Amino acid sequence: MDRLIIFFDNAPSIHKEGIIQDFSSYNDILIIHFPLFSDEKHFSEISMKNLSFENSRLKLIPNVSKKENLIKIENFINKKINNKNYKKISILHSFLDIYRLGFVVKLKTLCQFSCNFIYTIPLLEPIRLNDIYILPRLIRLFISLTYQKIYLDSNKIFVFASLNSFIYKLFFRKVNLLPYKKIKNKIFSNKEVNNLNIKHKKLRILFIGKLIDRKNPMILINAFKNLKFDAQLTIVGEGYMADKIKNKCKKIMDFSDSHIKIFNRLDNQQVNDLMSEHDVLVLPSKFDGFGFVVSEAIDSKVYVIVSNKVGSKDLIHNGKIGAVFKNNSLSELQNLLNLHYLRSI
Amino acid sequence: MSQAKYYLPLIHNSKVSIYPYFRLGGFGLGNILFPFCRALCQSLKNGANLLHPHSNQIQPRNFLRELNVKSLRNYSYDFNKLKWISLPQNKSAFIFYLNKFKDETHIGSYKYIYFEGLKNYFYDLYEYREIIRKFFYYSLQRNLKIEYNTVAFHIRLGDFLINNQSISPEKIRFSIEFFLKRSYKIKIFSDTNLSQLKDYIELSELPKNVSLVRSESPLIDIIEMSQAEFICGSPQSTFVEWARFLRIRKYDINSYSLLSRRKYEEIDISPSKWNHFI
Repeated sequence: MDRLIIFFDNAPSIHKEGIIQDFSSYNDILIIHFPLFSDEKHFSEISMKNLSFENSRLKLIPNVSKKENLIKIENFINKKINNKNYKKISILHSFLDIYRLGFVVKLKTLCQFSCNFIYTIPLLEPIRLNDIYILPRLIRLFISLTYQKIYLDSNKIFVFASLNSFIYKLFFRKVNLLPYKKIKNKIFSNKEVNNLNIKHKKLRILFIGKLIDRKNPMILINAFKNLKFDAQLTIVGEGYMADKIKNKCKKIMDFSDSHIKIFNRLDNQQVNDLMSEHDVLVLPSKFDGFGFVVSEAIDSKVYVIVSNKVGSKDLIHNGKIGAVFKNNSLSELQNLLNLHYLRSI
Repeated sequence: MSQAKYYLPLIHNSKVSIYPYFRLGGFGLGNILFPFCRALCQSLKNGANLLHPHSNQIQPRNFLRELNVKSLRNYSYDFNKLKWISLPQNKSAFIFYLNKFKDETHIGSYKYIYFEGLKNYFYDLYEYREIIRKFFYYSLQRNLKIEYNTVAFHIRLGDFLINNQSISPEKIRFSIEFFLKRSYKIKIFSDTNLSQLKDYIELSELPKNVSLVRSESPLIDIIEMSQAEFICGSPQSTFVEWARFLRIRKYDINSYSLLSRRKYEEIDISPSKWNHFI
C-alpha cells in the first residue's frame, strides 16, 4: 500500500482499536502509544499480545526522559518505514497537551525524510460544554489547537461524534465524523432492526457505566420508579455514587414489587450475556464523548435510549434502533420507555 | 444527526384553541383518533417523544341543536386512559410554545411535527393495526376476546340524521329481523337514548335478544363493538370502522353493511373491505 497511517495515541481503547481496524483495510498502519501517568494503570491491564498489529506497535513510557522516548520513536520509525516509498503519511493523534504535541512535531519531521506529503490530523472526542470546568477546558483547547495550526499545519480533524462539533469548525476547515464504523456497518448490513421485540413479559432495562453524576444514573432510577408496568432494572458499574444508588434502589424495592439488580463489575463476556437478556439499554449521561456501550448494545440487537448529550446518538438513525431524549428530562425518558413497552404488549 | 424528536397529535385545527388545555369545536371520536394514532405510530417508528394530544374539546353547536351531553363531543374521559403514552400536559405545552412545529410532510427532515386531519384514514395505520389494537386494549384494561353469537349493531342518529346519512327505520328493522332469525343476540350501540331510538325505528319495545348498550364511554363502546362476532353498521361511520379495525383480523369478514354495495363503493377509507350487504 502506498499510504501509511500512524496512530499516535495514549492507551488503547476498544473504540480506537475499531477505527484502526477500519483504516487497515486500505492503509499500512503503525501505532505508537504514549500514555500519561494516569493512563498507566489502565494500560497495565491490557495485554499488548491480545491487540492486533502487535508488531507494528510501540509503547512509550511516561516516566523516562524526553530524549529517551524520542530515540525510541526515531528507531521505530526508521525501522518501519525504511525503504518504503509512501506517497502519503497521515499522523492521527489524540493529544491536546503541548508536551506530547511536541512529540508529534518531531514525528512529522522524521517522516519528512521518506515522504513529501505528511498530514497531521487530531482524532478527538466531542468537548463537554455543560459543566463548571468549561472555561479552563476551552482555554486549553484554544491553546492546543492554535499550537497545532502553527506547528503542525493541521486543517482537518476527526471527531467521534457530532456532539458540540461546531467548536472544532472554528479551527479546522474540515471536520470529519468518525464513529465506530465497524459496528455501524454491521448494523446496516446484517441486522433486521424491525424485529426488536421484548423478550419477556416484563420490560428489562439495562444501565452500564460508571456510577457518577456525569453518567446520570439517578434519572433512570427515578424514571423506573414511576413506570406503571412490570419492569426490571439492572445496573452495572462502580463509582462514588454506588452507595447512594444502592440505598435508593433498596427503598424502591421496599415499597414496591420492582426488581432492581446491581452488579459492581463484570467481564466482557458477562456484559455480552447480560445485554442479550435485556430489552433496552439506557445511557442518560449529562455528557458522554461517545458511549461505546451504545454501539455494543445496538450490535447485540438491544434497543437503546440515550440522552442528546451522548456522542453515539449519531448511530441512532431511526426509531427502530433507539431513541434520543433531552438531557436530564425525566418525563421524556419515561415517555420513551413507555413507548418502547408498547412495542411489547 | 440524531436528535430528540417531538410529535404532536394536534387532532384538528380550531380558531378558539389553547393547546393543550382547551379547544372549541371538533370532530367526533372516530375522526380524532386518526391523527392521534398517526402521531403514535410515527413516534414508534422514528423514536420520537409523543406530546399530549389536544383532545379536550367541546362542540357547542351540536349540543345546542340536540341538547344531548354526548353532542358536546368531549372525550377527556377516554383520552385520560390513553395519556400514559404521551408526555405530561404542561411539559407538552412548554415544548409546543417554545418551538416551531411543522406538518407531517416534513417528518424526515424536521424534529417538531404536528399531526392533524384524517389524511388517508385507515390506510395510514394499517401496517400498525396490531400494535394500535394492543395499545387500546391495554390502556382500557380489556382482554382481547370474541363474544360469539353476538352482533354489534351501530345506529348513528344525531348529525347523521341532519346530514341525511342515517339508515332508514325500515332497513334497521329488517336488519334486526335478519339477525334474530339466525338466533343472534343483538347489542345496539347508538348516540341516542332508548326512547328516541324506539321512536326512530317505530317500535314500541325492542324485541327479545335485542338491547341498547348503556354507554360507559365512546372508546369503550368501540372496544366492545370490536369484541362482537359480527358487526353491523354503516361503512360511512368511522366509529364502526374503528371497531372493525381493532378486531382480530380473521373476523374482518364478519361485517354487515347497512349501506348498499353501490353506495359503499363510493367510500374508501379502509383496506379491510366489507363483504356482506343487507
